[in-house]
Amino acid sequence: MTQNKFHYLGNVFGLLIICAILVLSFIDQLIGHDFPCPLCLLQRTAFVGIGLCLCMNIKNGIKTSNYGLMLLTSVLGFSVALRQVFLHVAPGDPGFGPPLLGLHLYNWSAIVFMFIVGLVGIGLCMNNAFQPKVEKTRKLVTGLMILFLLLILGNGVSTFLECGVMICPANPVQYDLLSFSELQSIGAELSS
Amino acid sequence: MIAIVFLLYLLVGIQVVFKPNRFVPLQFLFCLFVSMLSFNLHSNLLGYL
Repeated sequence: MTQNKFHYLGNVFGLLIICAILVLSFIDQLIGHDFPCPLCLLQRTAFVGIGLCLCMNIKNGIKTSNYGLMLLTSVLGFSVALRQVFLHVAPGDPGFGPPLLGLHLYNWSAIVFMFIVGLVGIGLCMNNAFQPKVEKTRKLVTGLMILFLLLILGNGVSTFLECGVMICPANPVQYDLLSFSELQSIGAELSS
Repeated sequence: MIAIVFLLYLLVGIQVVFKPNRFVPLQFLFCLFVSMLSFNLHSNLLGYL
């Protein structure tokens, strides 16, 4: 297997993992009724950004610039996750949301972002991988990318319902745009 | 504001998958910048300055 092929397969596998992370967070939100906080949503945007860099590598060929963008996105995501870790680091603090395998989701995302930084570093060591793309993208991989786009759309719609286009509340307890009191106040404004 | 970030990422993603062009990395950097501004707003770190 050439280094280029190895990178291609690695990027496809990475996109699969990113889709799985986004689906799991959606399951936690919709089935577990766990409303994501603004920092959680920003960590999701960082995962989306990393997924887009993977898509660029898959679609346009493996490039160092795409890995550079991935590195920047990972560092931003790690900063957001670290900020949330520091918010809940005090002894006795229950943390935000339910834990998964003993750690809260923001701890896991900080670990994953650091892991991605390491993987990008290893990937950049392989000089022979950076070649122009020759083979066509397979239908299955295109389907995976379309699924990823749908997940971005779903996240965007749920965030819009939760916060609108303004700043999100720090500890959301309901979908702002779906709440009955909000609808009542809009109705009162319209009738007056 | 985060909904706008998702919308911008979606627009970049549609271009990457269906119509790749040379301005995509630049647009991606803009999305990253907006995400950073959003993080600045939502982190409440400014209050500690």
